[in-house]
Amino acid sequence: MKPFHFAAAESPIFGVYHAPVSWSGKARAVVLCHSLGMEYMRSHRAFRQLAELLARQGWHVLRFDYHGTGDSASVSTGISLDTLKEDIALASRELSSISGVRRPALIGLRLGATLATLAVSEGLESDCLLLWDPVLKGDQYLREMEGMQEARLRHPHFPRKIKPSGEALELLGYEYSRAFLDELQGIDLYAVKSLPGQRSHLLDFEQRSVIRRPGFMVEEPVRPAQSDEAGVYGRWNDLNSAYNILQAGMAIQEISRLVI
Amino acid sequence: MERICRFGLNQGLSGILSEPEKKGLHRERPAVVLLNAGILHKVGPFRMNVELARILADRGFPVLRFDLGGLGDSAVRTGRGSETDRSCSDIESAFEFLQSTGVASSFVLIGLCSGADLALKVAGEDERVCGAVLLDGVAWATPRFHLSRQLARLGRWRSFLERKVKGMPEAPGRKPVEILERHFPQAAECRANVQSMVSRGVRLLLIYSGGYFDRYNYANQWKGMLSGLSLRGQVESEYFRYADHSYSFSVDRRLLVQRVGDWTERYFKTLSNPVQLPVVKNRSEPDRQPTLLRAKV
Repeated sequence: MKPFHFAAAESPIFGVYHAPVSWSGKARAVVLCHSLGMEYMRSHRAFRQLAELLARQGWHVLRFDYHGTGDSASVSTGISLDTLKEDIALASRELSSISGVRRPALIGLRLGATLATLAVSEGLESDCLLLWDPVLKGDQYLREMEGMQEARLRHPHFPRKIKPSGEALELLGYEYSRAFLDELQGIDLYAVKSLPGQRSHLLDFEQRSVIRRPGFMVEEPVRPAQSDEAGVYGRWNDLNSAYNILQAGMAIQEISRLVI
Repeated sequence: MERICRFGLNQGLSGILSEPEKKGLHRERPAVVLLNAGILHKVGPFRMNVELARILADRGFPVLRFDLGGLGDSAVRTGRGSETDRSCSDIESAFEFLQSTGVASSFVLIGLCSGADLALKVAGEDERVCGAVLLDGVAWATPRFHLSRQLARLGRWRSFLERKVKGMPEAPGRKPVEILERHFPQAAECRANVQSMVSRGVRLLLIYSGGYFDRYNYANQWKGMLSGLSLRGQVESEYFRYADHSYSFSVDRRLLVQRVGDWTERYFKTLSNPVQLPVVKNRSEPDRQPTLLRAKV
């Protein structure tokens, strides 16, 4: 596990590279794409566990923080869809140069899955794309986030009144620009018609009642067998779960099986 | 400017050092060390540690945020002793790294929740610590605490009855959010520890949030807790009544960061008697030097 900076020195991206522990045949590489905000905070530990498991299976793994998130440079109000997609492309190129693998796979969680799909649809080369509980419709995602934010503000014991300040809006503890939220609003993965040249998997552990699967996916979603393991399900739209660290042992096993 | 650093046994501990632009001018200043809150990684809840590190570096202090063994991006530790002992040993490794690389020879610790508990313990035992900020750290009941709690219960009953009469849904339980189970030392032990630190010249900033209501429920509770001690003006406190335990609203974090920044700058910008200690070798790994990773792997 080697933490390092990459991209422009004046605005570095923080990444952690996991070298393959075992080695068998052809080199394989995968970039892990985080979600944002609370979902990032909840799933950081799960991503480390996933990275370690994949490294044990012989993968070169890179997990990283987008600009304006985690340990990377910049602030969250500077995020845009373009900066996020560009960061995925930078991470993919970085891992490619480390591992020698030309088209690293991408695994994304929630918005990270959505961003990875958009990046690939716009030309980023990747051999395999795995979407873990992806955000399929931006407007619905924002409605859920805003609903949780409203519930948080109306908390009977800790009610708050937060005035929007300038161009930034707060969603569950993180500030974003209005322009970025407008971009999120317009996301629709169903509009992505083709993803050339890679395997795609979609893992929707929550089996949400809303539309679950865009048409371009080539494999059926796989669920862990009747699991009631606490934390397998992110319960991403539940305020009571929003502060819990994701315990995703079973999901991680399932993902590592699929990407082989 | 931020640099990734690795230190400790087999370079297994990982952190980020934020340094002031003109670091040569500030050699005498202590380094600030930010600790994990529970099992959250070094970024902290809602990126609080990153904000703190960058603000304090802007104000001229070197700041290290790092992950204790097994957390975030640090290797799982193998070793004997309790979890607390091993965490204290990791903090000691951080001090030794900062000393051996010439960054600082004295330290200010900042911790939230379990991080505050560790900060208090290390500050009491390690003479290199000249200050500590404890966020929702140790607290114990005073007579007024009990009174406030009873009044709050009456208020909740009133609210409950009003909701019943008006047919409104029941309010959710008011449970404190804690990231890890915590074991507090006895009040007498804490008081003795605080007195000892104050006698040594250590400064403390005790910050409490409204989300910590089950242990701290009015602004001056700390005065009751520490009554009778000779604090010499070295202990200050702040009560962010409307903030929750993890400072989940950015407005609360801004106030917190401002308060911590002002306190640090006021008391540590120019140390009148900077601690000058010999460089201590890393006990766990005597022959290897810590590394600063400036470039790619």
